[in-house]
Formats: sequence, C-alpha cells, structure tokens
Amino acid sequence: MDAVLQLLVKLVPNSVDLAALGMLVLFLPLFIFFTMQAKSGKRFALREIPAFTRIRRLVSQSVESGQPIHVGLGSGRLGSESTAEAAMSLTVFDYVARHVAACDQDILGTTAEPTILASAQGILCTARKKAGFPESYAPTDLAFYGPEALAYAAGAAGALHGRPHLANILVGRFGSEGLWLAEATSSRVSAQVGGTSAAEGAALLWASMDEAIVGEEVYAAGAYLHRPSHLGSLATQDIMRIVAILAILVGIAMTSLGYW
Amino acid sequence: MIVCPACGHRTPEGAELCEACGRSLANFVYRVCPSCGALNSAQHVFCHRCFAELTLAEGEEPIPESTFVRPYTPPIVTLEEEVTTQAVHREAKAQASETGALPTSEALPGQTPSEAELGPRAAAPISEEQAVAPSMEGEMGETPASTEEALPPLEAAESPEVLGGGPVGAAGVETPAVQVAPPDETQALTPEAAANPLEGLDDLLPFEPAVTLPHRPSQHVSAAPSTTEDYEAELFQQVAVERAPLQEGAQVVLPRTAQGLPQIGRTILYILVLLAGVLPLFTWGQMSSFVQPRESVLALVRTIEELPSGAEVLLSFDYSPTYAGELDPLALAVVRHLARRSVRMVVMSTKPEGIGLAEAIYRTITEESPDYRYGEHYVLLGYLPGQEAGLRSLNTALGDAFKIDYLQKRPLGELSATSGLATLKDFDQIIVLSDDSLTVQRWVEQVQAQSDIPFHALVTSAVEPLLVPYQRSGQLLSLIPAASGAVEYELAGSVKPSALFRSDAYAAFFVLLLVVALVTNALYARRGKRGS
Amino acid sequence: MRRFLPIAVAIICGLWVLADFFVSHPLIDSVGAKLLEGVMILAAFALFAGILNLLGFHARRISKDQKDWGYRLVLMVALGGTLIAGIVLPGSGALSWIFGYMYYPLQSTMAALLAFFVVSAAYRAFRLRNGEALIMLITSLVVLLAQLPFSNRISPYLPLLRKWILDVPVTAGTRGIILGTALGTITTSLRILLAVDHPYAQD
Repeated sequence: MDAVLQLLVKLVPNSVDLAALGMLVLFLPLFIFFTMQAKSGKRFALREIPAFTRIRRLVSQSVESGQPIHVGLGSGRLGSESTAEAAMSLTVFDYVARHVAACDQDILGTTAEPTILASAQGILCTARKKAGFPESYAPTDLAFYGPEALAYAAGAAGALHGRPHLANILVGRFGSEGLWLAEATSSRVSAQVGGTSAAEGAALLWASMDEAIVGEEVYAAGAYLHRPSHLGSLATQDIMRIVAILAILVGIAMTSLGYW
Repeated sequence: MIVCPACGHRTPEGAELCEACGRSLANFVYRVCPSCGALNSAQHVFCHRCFAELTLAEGEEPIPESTFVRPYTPPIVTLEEEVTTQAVHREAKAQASETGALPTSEALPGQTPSEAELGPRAAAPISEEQAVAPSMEGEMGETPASTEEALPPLEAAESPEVLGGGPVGAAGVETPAVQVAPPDETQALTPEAAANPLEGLDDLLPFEPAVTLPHRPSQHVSAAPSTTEDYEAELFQQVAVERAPLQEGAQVVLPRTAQGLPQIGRTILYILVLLAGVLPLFTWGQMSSFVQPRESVLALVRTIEELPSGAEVLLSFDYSPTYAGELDPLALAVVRHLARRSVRMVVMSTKPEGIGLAEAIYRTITEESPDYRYGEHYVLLGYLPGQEAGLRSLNTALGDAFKIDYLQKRPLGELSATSGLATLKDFDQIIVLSDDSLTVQRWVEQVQAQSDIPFHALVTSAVEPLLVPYQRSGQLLSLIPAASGAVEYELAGSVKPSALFRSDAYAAFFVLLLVVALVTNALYARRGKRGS
Repeated sequence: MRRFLPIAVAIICGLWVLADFFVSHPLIDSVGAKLLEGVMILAAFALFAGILNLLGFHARRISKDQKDWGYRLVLMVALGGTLIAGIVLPGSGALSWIFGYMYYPLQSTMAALLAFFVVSAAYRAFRLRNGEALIMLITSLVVLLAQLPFSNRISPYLPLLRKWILDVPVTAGTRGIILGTALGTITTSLRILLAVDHPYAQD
C-alpha cells in the first residue's frame, strides 16, 4: 500500500491534481453503473423541464407545418472549456435534424464556431441519409457567422429574415449575442426556446426566451430528448451533487467548530 | 355454400335441392366464399374479394380453363404504324368534313368525346351505318377473327327472388338492351367469347392481369428488428404520437402575442432609451456631483498613488471592441493616472483585438502629453496566444512569451521600459481589463496564484458579480465595474474628466428600467383583472 | 471499421490527454503536448473550412440573384479586403485603419443595440407571474436603485444592501451554477471519452 501511494505521489506530484484524480476515480464507477442501467432499459424518474417538452412539440409542429426551425449552436468551441456545452448543442441539433429529416423537411443551423460547423454538417448529412433522402442534404443548411459573437447574431438574424421560421432553439454557449438574436428575431418566429450554462448569458437568455434552460439543465438535453444512454450520466451528476452538498455541510460544521 | 336462385337460402356444397324451398340448385348463380362470405359467380374458382379457393362439391368438375376470361393484351404497335394510322385518320377526317359526312371525331350517341378520338388501333374511319352503339351480338358477329358460330339467342334470365323475383325485365323493370342467359354448366362458351368478348371495341383500357390472376400474399417472415429499425420505429412513434407532458393540465401557454411586447410599445421603449442616451448633451454631467466612489475604486487609486516613480505595471487589455464603449473610459482614466505618476507601463493582450484598443488609448495619452514616449514610458508587447498555456509561459520568463515589441519590433532588452524585466515578479502591480469572467479566472489561476503579485480587475458590469468570490478571497485587490467605475475613478483620482457626463445617461437608463418594471406589472395586473 | 476507427482514435487520444493532465511522465507529456498542438492546428483548419462555407453560402445566393445580394457582396468584399490587408500588407496602416474606422464602430454599434434589447427583454422579465418572479423583481429594483448616482440620497442602506445581494445570494447562486456546470462538463466529457456518445462518428 505504501509503495502504491509512493508511486501515485511520484506520478502525480501536484496535490491539486491528485485531489481531482480522486474525484474522477469516484465518478467513474458510478457513471459506468448508471449508464449500463440506462442502456438496459431501467426507467429513471425525471422532473419536467418545460423547455425540452416545448422543443419536442416544436419539432412535431415543424414536421407537420413544413416551417423550418432555426437551431442556434452558439459560440462554444470543441477543444476549449466550452467543449461540453458545444457537445450538448450538437445533441439538440441531432434530435431536431433526425426528426425533420425523417419527413424531408427543412432546417436551419447557425454557429459562430467552425469546429462545430463540421460536426453539425456530418450530423445533418447522416440524418438525411438514414431517412432515405440523401439528395435533400445541402451544406448551406448550416451557416457559419463569426467567430465574433455579435457578428454571429447579426448574420443569424439575417438568415432568418428571408423566410418565416417556426422557432428559434438556442442551446449552447451564448453571451449577450443570445439576447441580441432573440430580441431581433422575436417578431419573425412563433416561439423561442433555449439556454446556456455560461453565467453571463444565462440571465439574458432567461429574460428573452419563452422557455428557458438554465445552467446545468443544458447538460440534460440528451437525456430528455432522445438519448437514453444520457440518463446514466444525469443520475451520476445527481449523486455527485449530493456528495458535494454533504462535503460543503461537513466543511461548514468542521470550520464552525474549529477543527479546520 | 350455394345460394338458392329461388329463395336465396344458403345450402352447403354438394346439395341438389335447396334446404329451405326444395327447388333445384342445378342452375345456381352465386356461391358463397367460405373464407370471407362474399358472393361469387358460379363461374369463379377463386373468390373475387379474398382470392381464396372456392370449395367445389364432391364429383363436381372445375369449370374448364377455356371459360376463364383471359387478360386482354393489346397488340404491339410500332411508332411508324401509329404515325401512319394517325395520318390516314386525319386525311379521312378532312375528306369527311369536306363531303359533309358525319365527322368521326364527334362524339356519337353513347360515346364519350374521348372515345370519339380514334386511337392507334383504329385502322379505318367508322361509317354512318357503323356509327351506332354496338351490341354485343353485333360485335361478336362481325369480329374479323370470328369463324365460329354466333351464340344462340339469349333468353330473359330469371332473377332470384332475393332481388325481387321474376324474369328480368318484368314488373316494370327496364330491360336492358342486352340480356344475358345464365351460364349453362354443360355448355362451354365459345373460345372467341371466352378469349375476349370486348375485342374489336376501340380505345378500351386493357384488363389488368391482376384482376383475373389470383393474388396470394407473400409468406410472412417474422424476424427480430435490428437496433436501427427499433430506433427508427421509436422515432416514428415519437413523431406520430405527441407525448403528453407530466403536468398537462397545469401548464397554460399563452399565445406569443400576449407575452411579448406589441410593436408600438417596443417603439416607445426604444425612443425612451434613445432619449436616455442623448440626455447628457443637455445636462452635462449634473449627476456626477452625487457620485460616491466605491471601496474598490478607492483601493486602486490609493495603490497607484503609493507607487514610486519608475515602478513597473503590467496591463492586459483583454476585451473586444464590443465592450470598448464601456471599458475604454475606465482604461483611459487609469492610464492617465499611471502616466501622471510616471509609472512605466508594459501592455499586452490575450485577445487579438485587444492590442489595437490599447494602441488607440495610448495614442490619446501621447497626444495629451507629448513627453510621454513609447519605449521609455510604455511598451506594447502584443498579443499572447494560447490562453492558459500562454499565461503559464509568462511565469517562467517574460522573454519566453514575447521576444520583440509590437510597434517597433525591437528586442525587449533594447527598450528602457522593459530592460531589467525578466519575470513577472519584477512587476509591482498587474491590472487586467476584461469583458469575460473566464479570462480573469485564467489570470488568477495561472498568474496570481503562482506569483502572488497584487492583482486588479476592471471588468464590465455584467461580469462583476461572477468575480466577487475572488475579491472576497483576497485574490483580487480591486474589482471595478466599468459602467460607473470610470466616473468614480475620475472623481477619486482627480483625473482629467471625460466620462463624468456618462453618469447622466446611466441614471436616466436605470430610471427607465424602474419605470418599465412598474408599468409592466400594472399592465399585467390590468389584463389579469379583465380576464377574470 | 468505418465507424470503429474514429471512435477508437478519439478514445485513445482523449484518455492520453487526460493521463497527461494528471501524470508527470516524459513520454506521456511529450505525446500529450503534441496532441494539444494538433488540436490548435485542426482548429485553424476548421476556421479555414468555415470561411469557405461562408463564401460558398453567400456566393450561391449572389449567383441566384436573391433580393439582398448587395449586402452579401459587401460582406465578401470586406472579407477579401481584410485578408489582403493582413496577409499582403502587414506593415502598412491598412489593417489599423480597417480596425479603427470599420471594425471598432461596427462592433460598438452592435453592442449599443443591446441597450434597446435589454429594455424590451426587461418588459417580459419583470412580470409578476409567480413567487420566483416576485423575488427577482424586488432584487432587481433594489440593485437598480443602488446603481443610481444619488442612491445614497434615497437611502444610505441601499449601497450596503446592493453589496450584500452581490456578496451573498448572487455569489451563492453563481457558485451553485458553476458547480452544476462542472459536474455536467465532467459527465459529458466522460461520455465522449468512453464512446457512450460520439457525435463525430457518422452512424
């Protein structure tokens, strides 16, 4: 045991990194366990998030009415601190794309980040092929405006100008450009749903959306929409949140009592 | 089951007499399909509805195949034949119209106009004698291929009682022009009649082979669906069937127009915002007399006042032109103060556009104070790429991150403002101007935590609340929001005032927001009262 | 194989970079550093692909003679002009001129429009729909009043109240969101690392 600890300290000299490694070691088995449970079909109790219910309804309406939906993927970048948020915006786009492609309807996707653009194009192309309408895929269904945030907002607002769209779905990393885009296009769409986990943009989007996704609810998008495998990671998050709360309470108690 | 032609009772196959009325079933007309119960003609071998094989009685021989109606196969007509035929027809038409004969293209009695148009099969125009509704008998008799005897004259059939009884045509029922005798089992139809009773009629659609040929559904092969099929089936189900929300009755979704601002309201608000913006033109900073500088501002002013002449300060302009309107006045106030104290400034940026903004600020300073020279009092290092990695490289040596300066492209050792600067520890203060909380966090984590140099953050008002924890922990000595911070700094630092008039615009804007909050709820309450 | 290969590469590279973060070993550090450099190179190429997408998007609409083709032409001319100024004429003042007289005013204008949009968003946000909205409204009113230059004339407690609101509830809420975001980031990253979720693979 001493030898193992010594090896560990030798390999991971930084104590902060060691603590982070410990947390990851705690995270991993829970994650694997709950993901396997989710894949085996176990049902998880989820509270309703009105924004995701609304997204499902909007997609159904879009398919019925033929009016396209605009999905704003934001300015999150794959390979930065906003990678996870960018991945979630792609998950939401995947959901919308699969449904509209199944009925050969149109969709508009915009992004301020070129790394997301390539992934989103792949997602849309795959969706069209699987639906049996490969000829319906057009790379121009996805537009890149940016990387400057407000330039992206202006470009996306211009893209919505040509044709009435059913809804704006803005999920990803957004700052003030989310508010800009939502307010500038509010008269051209019937509904606006979205959110971001970035604290600066969350409040602004909350004020301008019909149904807002606040903070970490963004990371639940996959579980609520169409990926049962995401339920496992959602359960893991909940468990770890409880652990963090308990740790905070223990820390408060110990500090107040003078032990720490 | 055989249907009795007299009473309509259904008797099992093989019976000679009807169970109900006792009459002979020899000339029965209809047979019931044992599978679906449909009435089928006695001629049929397969049910016309479900194509099941109709049960034959023991000893009963199936109707010969020659009596089956064969599918009609039109003769193959080549393109040249068709063109020739149409040309001949056109000539005949023209001749007929010249001679005044009945144009063959007009609809004849009983014929539709489309039937009047001669198709590719018509080889000759129809004369007046022939231009009558053809009878079956006539057609059959005149068929070119006919070499057999014509059918015997047809007698009136006796319709079953279920249809009203009596011979067809009796009791006022209009007799059709053609009467068809019930088929005699012992007498087979002539081959010609069996082959194509409608032969010779023009412009008829061919019989579809599927009408006469029995259709058998393919053998159902059940197989477990693949994962993809399963997913696609679920996808279709989700599209087709709308899921009910968990609290369906609890949600009341107002139509969008009720929630949003009407266009006239939006216009009024925008005009008020514009007026708030231009107010300083008329008030010229009256509100600045009420401004009280906050503790953070006073702390920074005190710190700079205590710096000795010739001290080194690192400034990082980490904001984009989007927020330059908010941060530039505060940046100008701080730089003016530092210049007045004769502090050397080393300027950099972790955003590409930040260094351009810094250049504009220092151009203003040098225009105000010509003694303030580049290279001697301040140096622009340029853009530092790599975010965390770039900031980490600052910790090791300044020369690792920047080899030459931004404007004159000279080594740092040749400039008096940067000569003698080896690492970050040689700086007395670090001031970061940012529009983004993540940038300040990176600075705190990568630089301040490693070098323990006094650190100040000048940020936009939206970002200030997110960095309060760092200020409370002591990692940030000053955290100043730029919107009101510029006015407060100019007052506290006795710096040349250029932002004081903004306080009027801010005050007007905040008052407008307060009014909007009150008016919104007043209108909402009024709409609620009307609704109830 | 077509599906397996990108997933395998992603898993191996992801786990190696993760190991590089924790473990200090020459081989792991060197390969991890190279992988991170590769990310920067890929991002640069992605930007290039994005520019081509942008040009193709607008060029197609110009060629179809759509009604706003003029604005699209201006965009493409501006893009080309800035590229030429930056690449071909780096030392000249052309890039500085473009930055100072075009980029800076345009960005500032866009940001100025935010003031209008904030007010129209506030119209909806300040509505008293439920208890949460009431708390939000009271907090916003207090902070807005405290922001006024003459707030200490209204009440000397207003600046203190504002400070307390920023120090305690706002900080607590922000920390909660940051904690949740961190947990979400970890689980999302684990999902991609362990190939539970692979948006990059076309399946």
